[in-house]
Amino acid sequence: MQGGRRAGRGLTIAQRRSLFGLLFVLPGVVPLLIFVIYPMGSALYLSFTNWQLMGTPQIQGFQNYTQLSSDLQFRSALTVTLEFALGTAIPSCVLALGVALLFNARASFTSWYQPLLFLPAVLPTVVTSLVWGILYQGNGVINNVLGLNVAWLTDQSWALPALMIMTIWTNLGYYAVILLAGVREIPNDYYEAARIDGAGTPALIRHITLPLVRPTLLFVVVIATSNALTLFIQPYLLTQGGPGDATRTLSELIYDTAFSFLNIGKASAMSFILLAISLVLAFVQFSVLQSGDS
Amino acid sequence: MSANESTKRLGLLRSLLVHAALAVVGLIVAIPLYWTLISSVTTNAGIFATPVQWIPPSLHLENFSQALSAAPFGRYFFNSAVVGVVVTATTLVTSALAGYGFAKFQFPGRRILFVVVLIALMVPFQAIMIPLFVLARQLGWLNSYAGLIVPGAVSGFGIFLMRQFMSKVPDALLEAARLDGCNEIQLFLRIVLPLSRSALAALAVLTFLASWNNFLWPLIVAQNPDILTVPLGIVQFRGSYFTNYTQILAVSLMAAAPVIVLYLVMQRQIIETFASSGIKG
Repeated sequence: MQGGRRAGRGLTIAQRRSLFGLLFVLPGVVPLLIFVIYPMGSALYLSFTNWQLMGTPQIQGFQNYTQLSSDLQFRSALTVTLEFALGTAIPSCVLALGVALLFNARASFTSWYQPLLFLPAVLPTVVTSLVWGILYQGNGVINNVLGLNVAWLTDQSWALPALMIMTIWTNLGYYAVILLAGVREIPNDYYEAARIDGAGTPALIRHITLPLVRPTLLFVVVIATSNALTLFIQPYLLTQGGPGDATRTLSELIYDTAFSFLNIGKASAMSFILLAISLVLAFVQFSVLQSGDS
Repeated sequence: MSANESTKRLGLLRSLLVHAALAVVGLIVAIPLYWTLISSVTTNAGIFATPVQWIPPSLHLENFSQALSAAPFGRYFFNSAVVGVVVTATTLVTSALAGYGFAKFQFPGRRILFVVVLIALMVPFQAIMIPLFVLARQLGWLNSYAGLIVPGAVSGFGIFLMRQFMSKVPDALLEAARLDGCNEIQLFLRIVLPLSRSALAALAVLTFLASWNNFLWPLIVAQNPDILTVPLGIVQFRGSYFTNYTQILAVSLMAAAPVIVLYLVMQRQIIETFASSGIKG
């Protein structure tokens, strides 16, 4: 038996192999335990304390959570985050699906446009944010070109839509590429068969493409939602969460609460809620991927 | 006119429509990028001129040199490069090793350790940034390269990506090499790594980009001017020269330049890896 053969230092070959396996994974897994798993536990612990970064954290039970349930700013942050998620996910999906269908209609154009449309997604967010900040100025290019006089970043009702527009601009090509992969998976036979039955392009899109691309669309919605949950740089740089709390997303509020107001306990409770929502989303994401595989 | 000819014409018309629609979208994406480029070499008055100056009347390349001398950008670029290179190197090594371990070995605790990787892949940084800051402070890592580098030196995404890729290496190949007398280390270095070159290249680019673009963690861990990275440096510069838009755009362009070069060279791998994983950076 190969597995029972002794190979030096009294270990069987199977034992030696499993030792190697462990040695291969530990340099990767140990740092993750220290810098991801331990901080998760630590966030949970801190969320039960009252701490201003000085002295030792005072344990106070569920007080941070009960206070959050009636905290208007926290509720507003959840609403703003949800609005941002829907307000970017839905238009992004519609536009990106449109672009994906155009790419699919004439594959030869993909190589021209795809690199351009994807570029904003890889640029530093600080850079794209600062550029849009200048474009959005009262006397800036956007008002100039459109002949408008909108206070994009300082008007209570325009600030969040302004951040949505620049986010859609940033991620459009990225989502289009994901959707294009979904569109291309649909077997050509389906279209051929429908065409023989006399279906035109709009009917093909409605009755074949849309239903079959739905898992990919859901996937994009989940990604757009997690992006909304972690949205920080744009409101931090362009609106500081304002005017009022109009653009104070959950991540921005956590940062402010922890690092401007040093309320570590409360910020940790919000972090843990963010973590819980993210894990649920990740679970949905994996289920969608899995159902797409089978 | 034959039926064949009319379908050909219809096809041409459709091609034109598709092209026109894509051109509109392409233009909307391209305009802010083009505007950034020209505005970095114009004047502050030129940026807000009506009508918009789509072609700058004169070139002001001195915007770049003036911005560079107004703040220690050389230092910021050096810091970002050090952090980016070290983080990329450690991520590649640990991801390749762990990816191989998870893909091709059976050992006790394998499932639970892989769950750790999956969790690391899913947890948003914002959810753990406070304890990470507390940990970095306890370790005396604030305002240091260690603080900027170590917490991000290993990537759950990287390990996951390499495991997916290395699972496809045929077991028969590994067994054959073992029978030929290859030991486990040689097997990894001479067979598995060369086969994984394309995945490693994609991971390297994505890791470097993410590190170069990273803002939130450096913002938390670094305040000292000597240790700032490029995105922090730009934001600091904007804080002191709030209305000097052309120079802000000039340094922004310089910060984006390495990203754009990498993107142009590695575009296909970047897009494919993003699209297949749904994970950006």
